[in-house]
Amino acid sequence: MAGDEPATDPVLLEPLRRTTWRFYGLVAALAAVVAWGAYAYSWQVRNGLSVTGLTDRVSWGLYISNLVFFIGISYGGTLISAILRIMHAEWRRPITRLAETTTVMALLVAALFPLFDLGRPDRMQYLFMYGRIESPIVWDFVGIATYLVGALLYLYLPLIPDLAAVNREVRVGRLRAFLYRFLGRGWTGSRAQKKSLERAIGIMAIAIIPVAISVHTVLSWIFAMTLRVGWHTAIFGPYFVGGAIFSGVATVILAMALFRRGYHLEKYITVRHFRSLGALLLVLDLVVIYFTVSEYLTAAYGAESQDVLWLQVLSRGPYAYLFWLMLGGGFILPAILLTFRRTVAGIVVSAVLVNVAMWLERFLIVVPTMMTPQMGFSWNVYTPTWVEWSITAAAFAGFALLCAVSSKLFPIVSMWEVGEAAVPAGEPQAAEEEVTA
Amino acid sequence: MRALIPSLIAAAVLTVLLVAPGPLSPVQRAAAWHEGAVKCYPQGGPVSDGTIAPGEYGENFFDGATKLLVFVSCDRSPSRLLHVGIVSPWSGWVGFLMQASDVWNGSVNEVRVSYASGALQVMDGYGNVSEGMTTPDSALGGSSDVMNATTGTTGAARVYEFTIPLRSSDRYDSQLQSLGPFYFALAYSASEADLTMQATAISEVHPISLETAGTPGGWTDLEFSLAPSSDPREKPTMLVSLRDDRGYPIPSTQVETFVGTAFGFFDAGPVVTNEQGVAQVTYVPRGSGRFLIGAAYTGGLGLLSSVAWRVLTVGSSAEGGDFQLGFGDGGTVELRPVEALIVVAVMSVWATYAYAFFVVRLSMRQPRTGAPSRDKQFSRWK
Repeated sequence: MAGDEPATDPVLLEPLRRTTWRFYGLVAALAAVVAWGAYAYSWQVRNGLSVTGLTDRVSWGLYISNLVFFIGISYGGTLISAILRIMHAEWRRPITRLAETTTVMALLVAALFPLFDLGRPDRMQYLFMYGRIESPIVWDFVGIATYLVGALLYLYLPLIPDLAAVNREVRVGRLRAFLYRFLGRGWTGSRAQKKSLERAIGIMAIAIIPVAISVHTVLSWIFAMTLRVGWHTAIFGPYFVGGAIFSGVATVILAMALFRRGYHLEKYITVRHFRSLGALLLVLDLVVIYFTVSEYLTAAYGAESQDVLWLQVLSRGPYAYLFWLMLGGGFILPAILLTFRRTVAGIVVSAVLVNVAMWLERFLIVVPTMMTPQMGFSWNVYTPTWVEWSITAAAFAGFALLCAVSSKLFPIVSMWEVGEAAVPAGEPQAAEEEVTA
Repeated sequence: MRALIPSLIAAAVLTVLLVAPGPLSPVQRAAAWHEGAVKCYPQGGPVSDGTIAPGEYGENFFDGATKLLVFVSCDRSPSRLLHVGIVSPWSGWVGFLMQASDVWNGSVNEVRVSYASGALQVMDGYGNVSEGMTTPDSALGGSSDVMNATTGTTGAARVYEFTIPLRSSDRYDSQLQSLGPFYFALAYSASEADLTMQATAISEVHPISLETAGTPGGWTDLEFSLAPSSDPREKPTMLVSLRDDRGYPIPSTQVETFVGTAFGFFDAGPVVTNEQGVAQVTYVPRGSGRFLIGAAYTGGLGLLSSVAWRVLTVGSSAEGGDFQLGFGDGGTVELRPVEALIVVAVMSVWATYAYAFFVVRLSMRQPRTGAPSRDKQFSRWK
């Protein structure tokens, strides 16, 4: 019964009870960037895609790169949470909520980019009117919608007991009280309810993994099913999935570091969590390096004229500095850092580098490939305009804003799961000693 | 103060949404689009012979929902005859529903026609536009007064022509004595020729007015043909040719295309005619068989709508995989096993979501305060 529920650690409820002016300042700054992006988009809608750098040769630019990137970072959350839950890894408990929240927020942002890429967003209806089951675009729409609903449900279910606890223990305004009552209505914490909840979460954890893998595979097929040099390759499915988990884990590490520092969650999000995810990041880094070498080596060895052109664009073309930055700064340097510098700071720096590299990788998949002429046409260099940069900045700010606001509405650490842990979730106040291999 | 901030933000957002100039203002519709209001011009009575010839009718209307093209023409005879011609791709019955707007309450006079086993069947009935069922006037105590019903074919479609006297002695048709305007709708059964069967679908209701003067629309003609190909294994490219009554091409005009599928007609999207009035439609066959394909020009700019229906026969690869355009009954594109499997997989995922959600929500259901439990209800019943 409600009265039998153990009292919750005030540290976990503090972000819901008190909001500092620094937080308001952060929200205002992020909202301002989002508003600027909204203005840029309204400018694009009024004037058409001619205000962007997109052309008939390079028709996918920053927008589609961002779509792939945000879908990718949504990945880590789900997989970390679902796989660790299925494997009964106890240490996962304090970070699952964080991971699930980043998944949902990244997906919400990602779902907007196909709309931004349309010069006539009112023609979105054509997807339903003329959509064909043979079209990868339709697969993608169905996949993302299914994944988003699943991710929302997978976030909501474990949230229910915490909603009841928050409603009981935190004095909030009428609107928030209504929200908690509405979403957690009927939860008493009885044994039967907990059993049902565990069962439902278990089902969702199993269901969401193949859905997540299929979504990114289908996203890769938008490229791979096209008869275009650099895209039409069988490696794209696993390459996208591997890269997505890679950037997703890096994003969860970043979110952990930020919320841990901002809400003083050192007791729950410990050095152990960083080291475990750091080790996972290192393994994934090696996997992505393997895929990357495999892809480029195969194309270079075959030396088909179109392949050679494409590799020249990448390695010596106008975006060559991004290509080498991605390989050196985003793949090799994090591998070195994660091997020899396994401190929280080292792991967080690696995560930042990985995310930058993965964004560059998405951009390099989309743009230089489209620049490579398939027929006797001239080359076309894509230069994003202020509109595209503004919308991109707004997307990143919007993602951060959604995560920040969410942390003020819902506990960012799953209180009931941490409370039910047989042993303390992490190491007791482990010292952040540097471990050098 | 805290409650005030969200309210102020909400008010600001609402103000911006209401006051800011709308970047998403509706785009002006293409001129060549029939708005649905049909005018019935006074002309000499068309020849009811199952063939619709140029100049026979002054007005027509293509309904995208039912894929029926309906022609109308009025005359000044004492009976005020309304001549109707319908071009239908369906093998089942088609219906023309009509009622005077001043007595409009959803009840309509309906004429249903079908062709089966070499015989034309006609029913003059009375029903409701939302129900898809109609009762013969004769069963209600009235009589059937539909005149000159005939049928024929054009391409792979069937043509029906009949005449409705608007000044009818039948009391179930008496509301049509109004001077108008009227409302009309179209209905069809996809495969049932039995006129008493439920409609598969009914179109939206459109206005129709009887004009005393005016200029009838210009005739248009839409034709399908196969583009010549040197290699019979190539995917078939069909040419859709749009011409006016003088045989001149109608360029830069949108033509809608359709393919018959297991779920009704699939709108394959618009194509636009070039300077020669020709648009290309490419069909990638997924297997051999006979497929009903169609194209429609929806009229506008003083021109009438027109349709073309053909059957595309795709030979199996063993037979050389050649293509032929012809007439007769067309098959439909069926959902293939792989696609059906994908649909089932996606539906299963959604069903799993629903199950997980309801497992929890059901455990959280609270009995209504004061309501007796099921055990108590049971003992009370005993």
